[in-house]
Amino acid sequence: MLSHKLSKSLLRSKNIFNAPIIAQAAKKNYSSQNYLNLFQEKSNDVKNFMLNFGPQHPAAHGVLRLILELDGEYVLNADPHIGLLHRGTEKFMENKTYWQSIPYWDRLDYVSNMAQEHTFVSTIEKLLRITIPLRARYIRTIFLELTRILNHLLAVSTHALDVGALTPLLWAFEEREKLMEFYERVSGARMHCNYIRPGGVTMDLPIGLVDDIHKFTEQFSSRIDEMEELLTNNRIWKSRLVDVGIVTYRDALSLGCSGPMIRASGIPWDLRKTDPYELYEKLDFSIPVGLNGDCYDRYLVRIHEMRQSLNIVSACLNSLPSGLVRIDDNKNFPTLQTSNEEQHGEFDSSFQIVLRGHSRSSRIRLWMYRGTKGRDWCLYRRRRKQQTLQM
Amino acid sequence: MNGRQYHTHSEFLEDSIKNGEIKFIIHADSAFNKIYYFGEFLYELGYYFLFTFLPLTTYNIYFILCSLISTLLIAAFATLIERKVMSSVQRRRGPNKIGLFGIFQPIADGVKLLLKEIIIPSKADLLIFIFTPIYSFVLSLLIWLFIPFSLTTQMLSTPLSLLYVLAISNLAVFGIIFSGWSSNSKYSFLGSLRASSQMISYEIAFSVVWLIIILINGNLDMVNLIYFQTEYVINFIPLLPIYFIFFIIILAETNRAPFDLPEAESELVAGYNVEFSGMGFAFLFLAEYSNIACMSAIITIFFFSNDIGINYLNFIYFGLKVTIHVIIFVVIRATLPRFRYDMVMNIMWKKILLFLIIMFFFYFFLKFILIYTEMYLMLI
Repeated sequence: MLSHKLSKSLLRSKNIFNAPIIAQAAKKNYSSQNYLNLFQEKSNDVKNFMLNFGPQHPAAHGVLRLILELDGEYVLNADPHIGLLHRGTEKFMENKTYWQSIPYWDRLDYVSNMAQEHTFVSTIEKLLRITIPLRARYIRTIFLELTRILNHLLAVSTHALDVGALTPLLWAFEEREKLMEFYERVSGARMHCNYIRPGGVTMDLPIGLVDDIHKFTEQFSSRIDEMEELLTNNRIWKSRLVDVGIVTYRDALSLGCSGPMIRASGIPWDLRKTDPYELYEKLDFSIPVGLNGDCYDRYLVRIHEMRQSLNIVSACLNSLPSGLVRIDDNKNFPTLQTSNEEQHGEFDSSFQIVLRGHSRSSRIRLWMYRGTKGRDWCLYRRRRKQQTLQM
Repeated sequence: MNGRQYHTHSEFLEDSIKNGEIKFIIHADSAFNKIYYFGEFLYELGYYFLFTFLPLTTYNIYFILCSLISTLLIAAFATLIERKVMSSVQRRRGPNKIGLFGIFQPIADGVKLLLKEIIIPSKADLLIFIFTPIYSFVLSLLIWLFIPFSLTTQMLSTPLSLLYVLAISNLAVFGIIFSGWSSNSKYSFLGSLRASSQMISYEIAFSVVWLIIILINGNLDMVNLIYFQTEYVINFIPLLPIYFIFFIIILAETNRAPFDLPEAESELVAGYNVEFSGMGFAFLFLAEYSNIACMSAIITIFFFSNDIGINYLNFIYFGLKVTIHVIIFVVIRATLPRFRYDMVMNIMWKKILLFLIIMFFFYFFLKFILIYTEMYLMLI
């Protein structure tokens, strides 16, 4: 009896591949019932469905891998494998001058390119203590807000696609195409534009662009209306979004959320208001704030923010001043027209800066801030020597 | 045999066993006997069907062939309708390269899929994997056999056509279960699980609607429905709430948006037909669209089938109504987001089924009252 119990307990311990021990234990009382128990215990051990929600999945958008444990339709456990978007950008940038590394920032978040550039560029400006001309600030603000629209359009419409509404995506991408055309006209590239530079912007707005942006702003609010007609009061959309993925006020603060995430949770925190840059101090706009912190609130915040950005763009267009679009200082804004020999002669103290931009030997702490998604970028570098950064 | 007189049957049997004339005896209660009689029953059933089909087939064989080909074309062009309507909703052009307005696009797609390599996953259940697309495709064609296009135009006729169409449409679930199971992929398996449970649940509501229609109709013949509606009034008016509910059920039954969970591309890449390629995929795809067109035809017969009198115009009129229903299918797909899975089930079990049962009793008593008080004489 004892041996029987022992063998049973050994079998229960799921160490079934440890054959010698089991054989010893079950030697005395080996019966078909015992053998059956072994199989029964094995077959009763019901496992959950494991599903690889790989990076190559239409809803993962190429940058996320989840290993899901499913119980029917319920996801019990998700094991995220992040970092698939990581391409060693910072390593690239270590070997480049600051000027050369601006285009990398476009590629960091390819949905809101100019905002990414702007975080980097404005940090460099802070370090160099440059104040850029007014027209450049206006242009920057216009394009930052257009970028915000570009970003939120993608966020809302792909969200709708994931929930199952196909049409808003196509409509939104029509509008995104128009915005990307503005990008192209101003910088020559649809996405990775490398337009905002330390000390201003690359070049002035081409003729007729302001009119076209104005036309865009006139029609865009009705485009948002159309999207809202399909989604906002749709009962299925609401039933999928309301009370789903709630981030409470406390959670949003303790997890360090930012952007629409924190605003949907009821915290009116926006760097455009709390730490205003470019023109935002002068501009009149409001910050939408959610109540519940669920997916539906986040959606509404994004929609409302698009309307606000539209107001900002049209306000900027109405009072766009004339003047320089970049700082009149070739030390900080190397011009392509002048050859290297000329620059050699003009500046000797900061020769290296003029020739190739600020070199990487100037290792300084950099603060990066505000993308359209509300991220706080922070790139930390050790303070060493500053001899190449003489002003 | 040997000149002996037998008084009982058992004596005869014993003797013949001894002589080796009888090899084995089947007792009346034995399993074999039951199977045998069931087989006989099936044989008789087959005979019955044979006699219903045979005289018609001899007359109408060319007509049936033409109709089957035309149903194939209906299924193919349903895809074109879908792509064109979707594109016009989404402010783009859709297929416009092959033929005028891309009218030969489905044929080009078919040829492309025909020429593609058929990839069979190494761990797939080969027999079922190959059998499934053929099964679904044949079923989707068979369902058209008894559907009348007008009072006079139909491939085959039987007094049980309503029952036949219901039975065949319910068999379509197996195709999906087989395809999900045999391809041995987790995504397609989940898709087929979803599809099967969804379709089986909605079949209950589907059948209740069928009951209501049979109650109104009085018999199981589909042609009678058309006759009734041409004579008096289209069923859409007395059965208005049932029409909308039936449309929702059909959406779920054919796995269309907003109930397209089995092929939710954001969750299960393409659902139960992920692993299929080439002709297998084409068959499944055609079966799906044939089912959509067929369901549109059924809803048209149930609620809108009034003939105009002229024979060929009837045919076109019917086709027009079916096409409008297919377009509604597509517009719904373009407009609405997808339900969550538990919502799909809740809607069915808690709302639609309850409503339909209440409506069934409502119409039952309405008919009862109309007949017994002879009020229907006033209506006529």
